[in-house]
Amino acid sequence: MPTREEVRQAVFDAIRSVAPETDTATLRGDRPLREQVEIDSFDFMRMLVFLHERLGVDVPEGAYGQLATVEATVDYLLGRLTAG
Amino acid sequence: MPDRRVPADPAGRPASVDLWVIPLTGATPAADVLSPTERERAARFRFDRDRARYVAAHGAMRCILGDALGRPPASLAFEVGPLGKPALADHPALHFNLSHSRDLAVLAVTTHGPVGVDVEAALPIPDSVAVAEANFSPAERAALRRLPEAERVAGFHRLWTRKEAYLKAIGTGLSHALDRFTVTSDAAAARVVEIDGDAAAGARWAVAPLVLPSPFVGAVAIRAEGIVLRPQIWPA
Repeated sequence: MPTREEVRQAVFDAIRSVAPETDTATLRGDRPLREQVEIDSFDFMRMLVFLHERLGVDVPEGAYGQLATVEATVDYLLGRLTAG
Repeated sequence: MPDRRVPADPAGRPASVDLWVIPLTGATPAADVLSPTERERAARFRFDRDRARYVAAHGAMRCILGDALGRPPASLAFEVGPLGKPALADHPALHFNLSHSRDLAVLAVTTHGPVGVDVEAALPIPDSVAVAEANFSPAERAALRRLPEAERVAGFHRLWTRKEAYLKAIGTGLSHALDRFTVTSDAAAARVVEIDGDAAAGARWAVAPLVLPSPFVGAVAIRAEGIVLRPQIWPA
């Protein structure tokens, strides 16, 4: 079971996999990611594929709205990992 | 540029759609046409390049829609639908949709009805096969596998932009399951094959590929008996 920090690192790695120039240290975790980094819906799908490969969590469409910020994404993934 | 006509039911009326191609490099419209909310959003981008593209795309959109309505660009008010699709607050009959990728934006404008447009840079992306396997319908995955290796990148992006254009037209974006409907992947015939297994529902939609500079691939989708696209370059 990964720690919160490991899940956050996976989210940062997912962001860098689609936007390699992103300095994730400067991201505001409580602010919508798409307002800080130019990520389109295709990039978002690629991030989900990356997170699925890294953490084994499949995110259903209905939950996409819960992944707006880095911290919300970490919360959601941790919830799924704990439940699963 | 000549009109490009997509196969249409001769009994029906095709939708006339202005398709603005907006290069995001070079001169950008003055940021002062943007609303305070848009300026705040622009200020939050981490990278100057992202900020400049946002200002250029949204500034051009205000200018184009303002021209169409005979209104000053800065006076337009936007509202967002329940699932985030932007609309003109005081002019619901003028439908539009904006998409951008890297340094190119496209804006579809029509009075026909809700419209969706998507543009992507069709570059080889290592995880595109995984994205397709995880999200596309069984028929789309099969069509992609049938394509020769050399055409698979373009085929993937044709599928993606057609699906995204449809989802943007219905206003849901990705909150709607990508595998619940099928579009064609061939370069020549763009259409919705089925929606929830219903071919007749798919046939009520028209999809047109966009002619864009390499490496961009794009599509526009609208509920109509065909599309007459009127391509325009911004600034005119």
